[in-house]
Amino acid sequence: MSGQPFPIKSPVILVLLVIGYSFLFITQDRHTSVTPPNLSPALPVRLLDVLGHSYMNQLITESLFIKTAVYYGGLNQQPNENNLEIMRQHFITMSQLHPKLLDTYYRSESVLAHRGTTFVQAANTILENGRSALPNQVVLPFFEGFNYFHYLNTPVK
Amino acid sequence: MNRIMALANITFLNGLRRNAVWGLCLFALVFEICGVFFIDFFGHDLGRVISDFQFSIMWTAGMLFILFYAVQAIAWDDDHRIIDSILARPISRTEYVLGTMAGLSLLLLCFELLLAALAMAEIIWIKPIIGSSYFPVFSITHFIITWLALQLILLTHLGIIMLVSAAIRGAFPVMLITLAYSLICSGLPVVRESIGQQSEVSAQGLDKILQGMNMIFPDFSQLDFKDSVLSNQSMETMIGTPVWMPFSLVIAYLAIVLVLSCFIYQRRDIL
Repeated sequence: MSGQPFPIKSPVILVLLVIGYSFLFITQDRHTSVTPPNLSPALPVRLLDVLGHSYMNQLITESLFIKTAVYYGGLNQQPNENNLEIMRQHFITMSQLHPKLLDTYYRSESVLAHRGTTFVQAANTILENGRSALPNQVVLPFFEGFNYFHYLNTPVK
Repeated sequence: MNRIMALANITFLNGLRRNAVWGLCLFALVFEICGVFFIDFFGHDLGRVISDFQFSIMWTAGMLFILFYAVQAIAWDDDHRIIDSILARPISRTEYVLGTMAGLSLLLLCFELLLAALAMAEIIWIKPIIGSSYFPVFSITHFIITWLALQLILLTHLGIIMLVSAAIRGAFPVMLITLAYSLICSGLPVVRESIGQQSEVSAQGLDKILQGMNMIFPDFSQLDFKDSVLSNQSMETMIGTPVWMPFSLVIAYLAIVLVLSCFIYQRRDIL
């Protein structure tokens, strides 16, 4: 070691290092892969608009949609108030940032509408955003009307 | 004109020799292919999702090219003395600005053309597979117009780099200022919208100031035609103004930026 060159010529060292690293990685990954699903609140719409330089709004919305879908799919029990609240916030953000994405309205209707008065009203707010952006989509007023009729018991609206 | 073409040619060939540019191109192409898997997460609006994804990749790749390659190629830096060797030849500062801009624009357009060709091929291939219920309309004309509008956004950023490089030394500050410019451009309409909702006299005065600032920092979202790709309606109906209007506005802006860069370069001491 005292000034002598120390060339690494044998590939055995590299192979041993790769095996050691793989073992550590798999051990570590087993611990991290069992974490419960987590969804942090979405940033405000206007901030996302600036961060995405406007041109990326659509992709940001679609990423939020995937995040919400993965979170909802990962819940192993009926969603509670906290789970629904965080998803409500995400759906509202999506419907404002990229109101033309139809999937947001189908998903918010299926996730939120049958979970009580607060969430059915949230679902209707989201659907109204969709109706102003997509006036030719007949399914959106149908969902909204159905929510008023069936869940809120106000058929007149 | 010959000297401008020659300089553009050198800049273009110099860009082709950079492995980083080819690497970026390769990664962008791979990401575009991943659009096929991306739509698997969605259930209804599949045409919109894949089209948005492709244009977002083109925008991101173009911005990365501009911020990480074009800045290095243009900026005056102690490590990058390209400008010295070029200006040592009988070439004017104006020719330098126009030649470098033309070369980098050509490189960017070739790069983006490759991405657009793959994006269009992928969309045309996947449309019949998805079916008309989930992907009813794809307008090739609107796709081309949207792509041209995206190129104009990117070229304007390139022009801004040229202008900032004329005034400031160092690649990193130029990159930061360009990024800040881009954020201001996207943030200003948001501020104007929130100020516009207030009815006080002071808010109206502020709105006038913001309107003036909007002339310096244009709203590039007016060139975002992504939604039109999935519609057979005329472009004019979709955006509310004749399509030439946002194009000519930003082209005029780019021309002013380039002329301004020529003026600043002529007055700067390069050494």
